Amino acid sequence: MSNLSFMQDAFMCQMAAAEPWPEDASLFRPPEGGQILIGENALSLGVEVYLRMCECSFKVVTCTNAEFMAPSGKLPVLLCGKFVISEPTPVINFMKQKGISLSKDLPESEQRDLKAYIEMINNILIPAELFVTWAHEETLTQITSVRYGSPYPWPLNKILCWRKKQEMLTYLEAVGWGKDQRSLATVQEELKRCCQALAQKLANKKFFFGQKPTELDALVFGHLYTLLTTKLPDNRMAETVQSFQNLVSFCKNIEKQYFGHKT
Amino acid sequence: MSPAYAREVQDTQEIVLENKKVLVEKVHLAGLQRTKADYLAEDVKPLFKCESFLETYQLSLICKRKLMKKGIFKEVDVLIDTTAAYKDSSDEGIQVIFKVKERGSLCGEAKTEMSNTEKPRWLMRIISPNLFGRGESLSASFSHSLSSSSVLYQPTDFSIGFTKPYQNDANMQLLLLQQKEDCPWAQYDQTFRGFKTVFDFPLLGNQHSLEWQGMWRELACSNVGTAFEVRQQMGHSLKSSLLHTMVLDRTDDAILPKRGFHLKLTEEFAGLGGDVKFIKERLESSLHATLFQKITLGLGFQAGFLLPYGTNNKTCITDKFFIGGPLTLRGFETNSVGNETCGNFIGSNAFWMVGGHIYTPLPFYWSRFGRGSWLDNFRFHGFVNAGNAFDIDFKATFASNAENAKKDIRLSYGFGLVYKFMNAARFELNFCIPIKAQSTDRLCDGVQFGIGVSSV
Repeated sequence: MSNLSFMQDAFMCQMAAAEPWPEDASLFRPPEGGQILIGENALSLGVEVYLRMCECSFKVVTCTNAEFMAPSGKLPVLLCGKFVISEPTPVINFMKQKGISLSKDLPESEQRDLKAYIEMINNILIPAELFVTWAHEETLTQITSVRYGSPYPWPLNKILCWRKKQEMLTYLEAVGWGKDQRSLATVQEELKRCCQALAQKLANKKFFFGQKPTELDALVFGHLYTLLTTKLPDNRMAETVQSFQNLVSFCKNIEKQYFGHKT
Repeated sequence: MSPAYAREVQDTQEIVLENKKVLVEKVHLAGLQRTKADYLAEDVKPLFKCESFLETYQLSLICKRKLMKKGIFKEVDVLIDTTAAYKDSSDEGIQVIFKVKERGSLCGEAKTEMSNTEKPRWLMRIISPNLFGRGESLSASFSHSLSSSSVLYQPTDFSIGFTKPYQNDANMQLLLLQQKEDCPWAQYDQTFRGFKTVFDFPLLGNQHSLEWQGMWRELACSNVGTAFEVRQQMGHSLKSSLLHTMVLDRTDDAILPKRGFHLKLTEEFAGLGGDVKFIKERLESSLHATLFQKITLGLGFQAGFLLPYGTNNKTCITDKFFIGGPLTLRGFETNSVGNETCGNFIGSNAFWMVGGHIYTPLPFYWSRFGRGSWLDNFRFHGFVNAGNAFDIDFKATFASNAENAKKDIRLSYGFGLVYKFMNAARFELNFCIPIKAQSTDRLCDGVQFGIGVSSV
C-alpha cells in the first residue's frame, strides 16, 4: 500500500509538471464568518494571497467540511486539475513542480534565509495560534467551541469539538507547547521574539526580499493579518503584533495590493 | 417413573396410550431460579386443553421447543406422569413436568457471522441472557470484519444491546453501537456510531418492525486517489430516522426455498432532527416453485428509490443505492455499476434488479436427492440477472423516468453452484458472462464467488 503511494506520488509529480494551470482551480476553506478558527484562517489566507501573488486564476469556495476533504486533514485544500493538495508547504512545493515560484530569482543565500524564516513561522506562529485556540480556557469556551461545532446539530457539535480539542492538546504537548508547559504570557513572549525577527528582516522595505513578494510574504501576511483582525477575549496577541509598526503597514500594503476590492 | 405408574404397568399387561382419555391437571416447571413463572405460563397453558395422551405428548414437545427458543435455558426435559399420588385427583389425571436448567447469569460466545453487505466477520459476545427473570438480555459484542485492512485481531465494531421479549414473538431492543465499513468502490471508509431502538411484532401473520435510529456518520477518504466528487462529501453528519420494515414470508426455507413467496418492504424517513433529510423506500421479493420435486424455478425482484428533501436537497454517498455483486447483479463487481467519476462509484437514487434461476440437484446426484444427506444443501443453478441504477427525477414525468430506468440496462447470465451453509448463509460459485454493460462498470467476466444471506 505505502509503496504504491510512493510510486503514485512520484508519478503525480511528473504529471503535475506536464499539465498546464487549469481554468477551474479552486481553493476550499471554511466560511469566514461563523466557523473558521484563527489558525485555519491564517493558513487559508496565506495560501490565497500566495496564489494571487503567483497570478494564478482560481476561485475560493467556502464549505463547512473543508477540513475533512483535505488529504492531510489540514486546511486549506487546493483542487488543481486532478490534484488535491492541502496545507501551505505542499501547495508551494506543488507550484514549484509546475515551474511557478516566487523566489526562483533570489540568490542562493537569500533562498536559504527564506526557508529559515518559513521554518520559524511554522514553528512559532502555528503552535502559538493553536495554543490560543485550544489551550487558552477563555478563548476555548467563548470562541472555539462555538465556532468549531457551528455547522453541526447537537450533540455532534459538542462531540466533534471535544475530539478536536483532545487531538490538538496532544499535538501541542508533543511539540512542547502543552497546557502545562506554557502559559499565554510565555506564548506572547515567543510571538514577540518572532515578530522582532520579522520586523528586523523587513526593515523599511516593501517586501521581505526587496520589491518583489515571496512565499514568506504570503505566509507572514496570512498569520499577522489574522492575528490583527480577529477579536479574541484576550487581545494580547493582537497588541503584540500592533506594537511593530512596520509589520502592520506591511499587512495593510498587501491587503490593498491583493485584496483591493475587499476593503 | 412414579410408583403408582409402575404398579399400573405391572397390573395390566398392555395399555394403548395413544387414544387414552386424559385430563391434564397440573403442569410443573421445575428448576426455575431467576426466571419468573409468569413469563413462561402463557407458553405452557395450552397443555390444559389436551384430551388424549398423544395430544399431550405432542404438545409437550412443542412447548419444550418454545421454551428452548427463549434462549434462557441450557436444557429442558419433559416428564409425563399420573396424578395418582395427589389427593382427590381424577382417575384420568396426569401431570406434565418440565425440568429446566437455566443458563448462567453471564455467558460468552465467539462465532463467525455473515451479512449481505459485508464480508464475514468474527464476533465475540458477552451476554446476560435473563437479566430480570423475564427473558431480558443484556449483551456486549465486539467484532471485526474480515475484509478490513486493519489488523485482524483488533475489533472495529462494538455494540451493547438490551432486549426485552413480549408475548407472541414481539420484542423490543435497545442498541448502542459502532460500526466500521470499508467502501473500496468509492475509496472511502465509514464509521457509524449511534443508537437504535427496534420494536419487532407480528401483525396479521406478517412480521413488522419499527425502528428509530440516531446515527453519527463519519466518512473519510481511504486513499489519496479518491475522486474529488467523493472527497467533497467526506466529513460528519447526523442522521435521525424512523424505519418501518414489513416481511411477508411464505417460503419453506430461508436460504434455498423450494416454494412460496417472500416480500420485504422497508421505508425510512430521515430528518427527525439531525442534518440528513430523505425518504427511502426499498422492496425485495422472490417467488419459488418446484417442478417434479427436484427442479426449482426462482424469480427475484428488488427495487428502491430515495427522495431527498429540505434546503440543500443533496444526498450523501452513504445513503445512495449501489448495485452489482456476486449475489445480486452477478457478473459485476460489488457495488461497481452505474454513476462513476475517476474510477469511483458514487451511487444513484433509484435502482431495480431482477433475477431468474433454475435450480437442480447436483449432476449424478439426482436419484439420491432429497434424502437428507448433506449434499442436499448443494444445488446447481443457471441464472439470468438484469438491473439498472439510475437517478430518478420526481419533477419530471413518469414516462421520462421510466425511459431512464430502461436506458442502459445491465444484463448477465451464467451458471454455478449454490451451497446452503448451516441455514444461515448462501455460498455461490458462479461462472458469469456479462452481456450488456457500460464501459465504466467493473465487470467480473468468469468465475465469481460470493457469500451472503439474501440474493436476487
